[in-house]
Amino acid sequence: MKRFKLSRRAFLGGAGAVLTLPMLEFTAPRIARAEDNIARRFLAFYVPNGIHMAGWTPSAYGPNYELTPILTPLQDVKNKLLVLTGLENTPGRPEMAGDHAGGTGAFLTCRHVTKTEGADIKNGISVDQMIAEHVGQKTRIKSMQLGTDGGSSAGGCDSGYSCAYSRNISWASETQPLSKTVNPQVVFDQLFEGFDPVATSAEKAKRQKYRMSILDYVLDDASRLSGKLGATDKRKLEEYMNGVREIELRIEKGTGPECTPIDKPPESLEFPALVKMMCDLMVLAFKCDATRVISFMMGNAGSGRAFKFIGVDEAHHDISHHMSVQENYDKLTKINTWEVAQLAYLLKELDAIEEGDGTILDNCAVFFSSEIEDGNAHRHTNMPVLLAGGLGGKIKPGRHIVYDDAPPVANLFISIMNAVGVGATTFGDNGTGPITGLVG
Amino acid sequence: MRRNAWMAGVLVTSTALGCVGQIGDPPTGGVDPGTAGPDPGRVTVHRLNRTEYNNTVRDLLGTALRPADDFPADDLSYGFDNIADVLSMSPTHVELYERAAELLVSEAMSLPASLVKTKLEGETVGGSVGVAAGEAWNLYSSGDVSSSVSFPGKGQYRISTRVWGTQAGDEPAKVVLSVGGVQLGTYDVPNTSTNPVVLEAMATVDGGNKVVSVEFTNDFYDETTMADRNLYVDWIEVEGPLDAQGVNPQRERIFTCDPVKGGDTCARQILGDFARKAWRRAISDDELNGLFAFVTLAKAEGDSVDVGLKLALQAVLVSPNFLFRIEMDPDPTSLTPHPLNDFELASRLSYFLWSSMPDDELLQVAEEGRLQDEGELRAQVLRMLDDPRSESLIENFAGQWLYTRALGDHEPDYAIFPTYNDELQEAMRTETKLFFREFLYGDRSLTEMLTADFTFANDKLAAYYGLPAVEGSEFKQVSLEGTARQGLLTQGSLLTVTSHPTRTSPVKRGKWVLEQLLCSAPPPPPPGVEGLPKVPMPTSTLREKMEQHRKDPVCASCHTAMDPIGFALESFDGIGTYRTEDQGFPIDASGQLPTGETFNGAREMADLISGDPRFGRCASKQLFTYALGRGSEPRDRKYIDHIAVEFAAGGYKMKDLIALIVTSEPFRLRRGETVKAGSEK
Repeated sequence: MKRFKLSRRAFLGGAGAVLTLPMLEFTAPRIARAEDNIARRFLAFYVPNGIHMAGWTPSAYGPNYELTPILTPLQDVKNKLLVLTGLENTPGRPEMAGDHAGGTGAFLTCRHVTKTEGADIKNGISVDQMIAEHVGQKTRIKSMQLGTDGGSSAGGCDSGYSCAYSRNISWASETQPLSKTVNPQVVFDQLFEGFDPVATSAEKAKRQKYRMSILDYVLDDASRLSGKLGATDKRKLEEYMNGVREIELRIEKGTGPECTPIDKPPESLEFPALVKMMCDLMVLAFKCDATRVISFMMGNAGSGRAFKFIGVDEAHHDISHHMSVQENYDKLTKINTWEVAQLAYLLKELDAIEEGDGTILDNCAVFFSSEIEDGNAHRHTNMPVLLAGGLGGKIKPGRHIVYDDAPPVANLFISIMNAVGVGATTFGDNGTGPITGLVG
Repeated sequence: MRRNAWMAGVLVTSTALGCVGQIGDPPTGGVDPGTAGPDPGRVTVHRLNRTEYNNTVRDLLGTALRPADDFPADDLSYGFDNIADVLSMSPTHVELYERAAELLVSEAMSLPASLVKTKLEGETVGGSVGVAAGEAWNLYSSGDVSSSVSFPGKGQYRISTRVWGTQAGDEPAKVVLSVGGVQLGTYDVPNTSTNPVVLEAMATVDGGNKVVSVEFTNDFYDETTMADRNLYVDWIEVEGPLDAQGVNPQRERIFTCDPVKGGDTCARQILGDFARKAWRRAISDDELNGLFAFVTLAKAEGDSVDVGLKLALQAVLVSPNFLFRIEMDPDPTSLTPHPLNDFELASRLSYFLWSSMPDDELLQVAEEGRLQDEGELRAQVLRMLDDPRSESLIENFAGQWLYTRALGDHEPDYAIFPTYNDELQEAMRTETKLFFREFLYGDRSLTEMLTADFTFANDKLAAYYGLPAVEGSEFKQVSLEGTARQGLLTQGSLLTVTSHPTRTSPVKRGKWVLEQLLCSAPPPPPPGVEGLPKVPMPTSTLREKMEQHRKDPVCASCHTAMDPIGFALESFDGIGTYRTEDQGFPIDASGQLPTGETFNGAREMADLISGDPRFGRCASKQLFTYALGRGSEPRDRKYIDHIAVEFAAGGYKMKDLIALIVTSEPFRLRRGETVKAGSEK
């Protein structure tokens, strides 16, 4: 037992150790429908405050379009990318004001959220969680929620909307947002949790037994309590119990194939380094098949970050209300280009890892967008949308698709869900069926 | 609904309260306040937020660890981070709770580290450069002999090393001794092989593996004379911890008896005592049996009682009874109010006043059933306010109410505000904290927050404000008489966080006063009209640009209330520096409130706001929200009205307000809820 006292954190500080991670195909119940063996993955990449569309939308469509200034960083992965123009996510429209909260709430749910700060908080299940419900049992971690900002520590978030809508994009149910992790050290520990190369298998088995005994105990506690509570309280206890069950599943899944970790991230990082670290961790999570579903918020709704490191000193949100001033356009272009460059880094890293006949990126769908279209007009139509990866042959990338009939983002999500085996025909408030054009 | 309110605002722009927005309370689908009897409402089961978790484990275990700093940020509603309805729970939370429990229990139960001596031979360890030379290592050019050493626990260690040099050049060999990258000292070593020296340094080191290094820093070699300065390292020794007391105070606190002598009875007692504190209530025999089962389990696995106790303590800390503040309804679907039980009330009280668990006395009083007595309740409030833990009201309540916490998130533009730095930010934060403290513990009327002719400053802040010099970095109460500053509204912290990074924002400042101090927040602007007009007007002041707001009746309905307050504060720039000009234009800090009163400057404006009866009621409502951890609803109006009236009658004393809230029905009673369609999964 002595070894268990070793802090995992201290222990994992060294580089280059070989870690063990769960088996690709754990003893998960086989889905009745016949499936290929491709590990399809979904990643949602959120950026706040909209996009300067004049610098974003390519003029030509089809495979031979030219990358616009903001999209230039994607040059190397252009053939693995779809630029999707003309989609709308109108459920994100708030009641009067609150486009940032409404748009962020609807970002992956395509639901019109209830304007409240209280008990009647209500959104819908998000697409990443729909997918996680389906593929989550194949990996040790069902899904991960990551971000860069915890959120400001005082004041309201947006016009009478709870901060729950502004700071979370993954929702496990209508009432349960999934908080994101913004500390890369915590993410690292999540990925390599439980690793102890000097423990014997008997010691590992005992540790597993002990952890399970604790979780079983608290689960009993919770169900005893839950029986005596009212509906709202019961819901909170259910959130807790779902969490405990998920951790139990992780423990049961134990260990499997080997995976080489990166160095332990340092205590604190400046924003650009933090984003890069989070990208590295996401790549690692996919590479090690620790999870197949990730959502990432590179800032919270209506973020006021000053991008000083690229020469923009004003708050992002302030500039996004550009009032058609050229100077603001220039600054927004700088910010948006930098944001896209971070996506490009992530995609290139995913594309550098071979898997099957292609790369990991070929088996992914990476969805990139913002909570609104233009920062000044706060529109929820003509959304800036990128979709990268081939989703294991289900998407034919390398094109700019322009939709004239303004299909909902929800329909794009239906297509992605269908491709990974979720048999949805509707989604959110306005999803009516798969979107056309993805397979070419 | 909101659209109608806004339209109404447009129609009545000329009246004082044309901008109606969120005045009063939000609509609700709950009980009709007009027809129902007393309705204390209910508070949803409350997950400990990050602050509460850290404080609770501090008070429960005596730890300095703050595991919740790594937990996901708590979402805010109604301006506070302790609103039960939005304190959600995710698998990530559970994972981190499990990890934190293991860490905390492992620290609390660890046996004190005993003294260990580790000796490393230079020739065995080797160096970054050089060669083994007999019983030592010869560093023949600059480099180090270093090795990772296990430090058994936090404490004082003696690091020593036996070295000598071959001397050459005009200075002796230099040696740097360090542990874990931290230099302990630099030494001149004139000694040679005939008289080696033992260098010795003391270091306070955390437990774990650290690199101990002996570094030779001034290699010297003259090719013509072959004069060569080298360093020889014979050995390195680490000894400690030297200050081990033989006692882990955390462990002593948990071990209320000796399980070696007391056997199972004692183990049960330890678990019962711990669970009672951690769960903040009496525990049942069944619950105790469940915890004791971990001891049985450990034994069956061939482990010690200690291992079993550790597992049980971890289970206590991961249990929903610890992580949530649970309040039971006899009938969860009945709307008939019932008093909280004593334990539930004790937790409401301690998490309100301390952001932490009840202490022994409060738990004892609750166990004896005395907390239902209003006199006892009041006595406990006074006792608890006397305890330093009540400073959490400054950090958590005032920090969020007055936005002091937002200082850390705000980044003024360096090019425009080069004087702003971390030190100034910290001074501003301290000023507002000490200022609020004066109202929390003193006997001053809260309205003086806006009219006070004093503040708190140290040397740095006094110089920054242009006040008479204060000596030293300690904060002292200083007079503001004869200055442009007065009260909270002219403090640097507030003026900074209500500005843009590059300039002031009269709108933000005005809105802040309306929202936080008068609870009369204007509704947000309609879509597409945010921000300054798009045609830049370089020849006008910010104020003139904002006059645009008044020309458009839609804007004017709200901006006639917000902007004048902000204009009064225009004498202070985006980081609160006093100024008479803005980009060459003289500041006009005069204005008129929608009620018709005119003012010139921040002082006169603050005087007017302090006299507004909405201020006392708003402060009541803000503290009510924080105290209960839920938003106020229409049915709470009569309670808040009553509290506000009494608060005013007593001269706006914070201690009165706290007692009024604690003794109110919403704080002491609760009810069940009707099952709403769709609220069940």
